[in-house]
Amino acid sequence: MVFVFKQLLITMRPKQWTKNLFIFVALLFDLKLLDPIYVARAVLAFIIFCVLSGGVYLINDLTDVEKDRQHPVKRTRPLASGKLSRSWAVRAAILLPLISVALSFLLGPWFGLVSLVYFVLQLMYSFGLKKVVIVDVLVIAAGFVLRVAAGSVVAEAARFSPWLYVCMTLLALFLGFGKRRNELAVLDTNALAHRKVLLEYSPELLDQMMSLVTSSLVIAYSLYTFSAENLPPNKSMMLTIPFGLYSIFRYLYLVHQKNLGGSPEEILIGDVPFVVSNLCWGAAVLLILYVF
Amino acid sequence: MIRELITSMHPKRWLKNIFMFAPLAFGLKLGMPDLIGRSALAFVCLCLLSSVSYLINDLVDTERDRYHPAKQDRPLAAGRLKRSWAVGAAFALAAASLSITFLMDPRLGLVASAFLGVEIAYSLLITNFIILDVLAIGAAFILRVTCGSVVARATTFSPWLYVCGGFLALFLALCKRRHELLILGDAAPKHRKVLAEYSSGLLAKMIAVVTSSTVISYSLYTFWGAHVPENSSMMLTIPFVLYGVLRYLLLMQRRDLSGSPEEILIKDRPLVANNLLWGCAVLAILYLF
Repeated sequence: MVFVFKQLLITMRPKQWTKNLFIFVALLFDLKLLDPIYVARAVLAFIIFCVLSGGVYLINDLTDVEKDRQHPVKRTRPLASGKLSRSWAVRAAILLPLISVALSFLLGPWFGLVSLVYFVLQLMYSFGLKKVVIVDVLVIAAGFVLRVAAGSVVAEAARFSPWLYVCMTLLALFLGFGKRRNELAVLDTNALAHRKVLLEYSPELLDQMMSLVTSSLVIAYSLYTFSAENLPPNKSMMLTIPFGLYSIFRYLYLVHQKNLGGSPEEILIGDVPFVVSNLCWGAAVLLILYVF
Repeated sequence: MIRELITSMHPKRWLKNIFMFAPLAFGLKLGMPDLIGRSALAFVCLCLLSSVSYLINDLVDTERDRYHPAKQDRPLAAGRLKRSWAVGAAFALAAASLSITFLMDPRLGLVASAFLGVEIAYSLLITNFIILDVLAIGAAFILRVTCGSVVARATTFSPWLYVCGGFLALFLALCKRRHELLILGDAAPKHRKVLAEYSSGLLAKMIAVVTSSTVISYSLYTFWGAHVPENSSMMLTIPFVLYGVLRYLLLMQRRDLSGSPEEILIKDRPLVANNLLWGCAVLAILYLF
């Protein structure tokens, strides 16, 4: 039994759950980080989203079992290798999303709606949209926006700046295009044949798209720092612009010159200057929002 | 000796400090003689403070400059200026200009100290770190504008001035690096160590980011900024900014232009004409309408 749960958990890709931390963004920026009720609600929402995204991976692996068996790396996945039986996986794949969607409606009708949309969108992504050029990255970005929106709904955020939605969308697009660019540069022709959508992109096209979203992101964040509503009137939030700028440029540098960017999760914890800049940025934001 | 000392103070680079008059001009205070006098005094202090950092830089790099084809002729490297003189001058200038700024306004003194700190940190250390080097240039620029804002007794804080100016400084600094990489090629890291880490492609991307940010923040300023006329006539100045930025981008692509970007900035006739026209248009719109 424990073994089955472990295999189920592996199939649900807990590493990817870090993305669901974006649910806490609204809590942080709406100054409700010290309010236990809202923190509890956000934690519950976070868990629901983790289970939902895990459910999508279960469904995805169930349908891809045959294909994964032929793949050099994916053949070791619990379902493909037979360590997890199909019947257990099917039961989990039906029950977990049902329960979490039901729970999400209990938490609030709007939150339930957002969760449902998120779940459907993720399913659509793994059953086809990921093969459509440009749409693939847009859907990833939509996933991030929905996470932030979910957080905003559970936190009952009253003054959540629209700029932050714009920033999140652009940030997700930035990471998505950076990932595509890295995959195009690193993967060999054999691996590329498995992911035909990558061949429709070219490095030049991705560079142009990245330039576009990077500039928009920098501007949107700058605008947020002095035109959003619940910020200190002395505009001290503008002091955080350099950290954001440094992180963005550092990421560009890593993608462009070091051929990293394939897994944003690894850069997020692996590159020391990037981590330091992000920590400074986070500390500055907390200080400015909560202390001043 | 005094002449050598002045050469080591790099008066040509003082031009950058002119940006501290921006808050005065954009705050509609160019008609107030006392504020102009204060700003001029603060401008002199900023020039001397930046010279302090140049002196320190030349003092630290004396040995290395001796082997550098372009820098070996500098007074300190060539031995025409005694080290003791340079050290003494650096201390005296720093002490004098900092005390003047503190006497004028303690807040001005603080900003000026921060400016000196950033300039020294840049020339001794930060200049070797990728990305941080251009951000430090941007920070020094923002501090210049802040100095100007404090002496001009600005009451309305205009974020646009800072954002747009900061991006402009980043634009100029990144273009300079790209130009050096273009002209010097493989020899570039010998001239500036950090160029070994930058690549032309990366710089092009970063330039694309700061260029659009500069143009958009300026455009937003023209209709949302403080003190701009109600009829949005300030928008008429956008084409000049666009032309200036694009012309500069074009010049930075050309290999045949020798000399530093600063020189190109004041030597290229179309660019100079455009900047003058922009200045006239801004002044006319702000002060006449």
